[in-house]
Amino acid sequence: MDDMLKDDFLGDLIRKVPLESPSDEFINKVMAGIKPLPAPVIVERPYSLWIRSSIPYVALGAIIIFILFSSDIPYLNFISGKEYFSVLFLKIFPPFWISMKTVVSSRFITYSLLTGVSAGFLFIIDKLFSRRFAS
Amino acid sequence: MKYQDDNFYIEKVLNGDSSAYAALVAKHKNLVFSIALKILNNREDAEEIAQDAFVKAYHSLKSFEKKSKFSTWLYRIVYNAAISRTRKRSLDTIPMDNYVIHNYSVEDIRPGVDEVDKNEQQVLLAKAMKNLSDEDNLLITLFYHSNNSIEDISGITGLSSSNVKVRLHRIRKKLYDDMSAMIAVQLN
Repeated sequence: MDDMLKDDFLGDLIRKVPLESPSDEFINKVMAGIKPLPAPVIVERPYSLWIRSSIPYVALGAIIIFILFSSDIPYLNFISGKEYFSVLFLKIFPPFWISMKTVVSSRFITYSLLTGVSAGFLFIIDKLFSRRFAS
Repeated sequence: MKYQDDNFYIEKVLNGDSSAYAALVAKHKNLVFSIALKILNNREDAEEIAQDAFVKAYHSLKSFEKKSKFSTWLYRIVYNAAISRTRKRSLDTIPMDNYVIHNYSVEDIRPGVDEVDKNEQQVLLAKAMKNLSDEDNLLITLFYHSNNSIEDISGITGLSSSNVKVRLHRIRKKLYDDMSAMIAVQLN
């Protein structure tokens, strides 16, 4: 049935019958009625935003490093040259380690620090994820 | 004038080159205007509706998903706009059962049409097309002039595919009958 409709004889004849044309001004009238579509704008992310969004990751990294290097548990024994690195690290930051030792010598300060750091960490993580996954 | 594929101009327009739309208008203006004219029967109204359809299509170009041809999408816009203008209901649907589709061969259906030369055939066809209703004229134009498929025409007009087929068969038969009758009159 569809093939019958594809009647080349009739199709050729009909295509030779000219279509009606609008006035000569038609295209100009259409073009006058349109305004240019706004070109796609690529918004660059400001550097400050990159820096701000990296803060939680930097903080997390710092905490992990702090835990690893201040712990007696041998997390990093499998890494060759760990002792050498620790010695070097301690040499570079002796004042920091000395003050840390002083701080954590008090039980009150230690618990306060632990609570504060944990709360701060949880707060940062919460802020980070609520911003990332907010619809 | 030789035109590029519609998508070529669409991409240019979407990238901010609105002047590329003029080529799309030039390419489709005659058929868009013809669709509007066949529905409205008034040149001024048809031109206004065709113009509005092009402007509307331009502003909706970002939402055009390229699932169908641009031309089909555009014809549907102008068809709906013209129908709204006339406040005319969509084309009457004809139940399949009302028309028996015979397996006419081309020779059966156009006796005598081959006996006249091509130019004469064209004149006869133009006359026969004037005897068709506006709706039938629109369907035959969409099918044979712009090579729309049955599904495309169904999408443009809102008729079911089977209805479009039935109507096209009936129109085709009527055109051949009218042309044969005119030839018979001429020969007598």
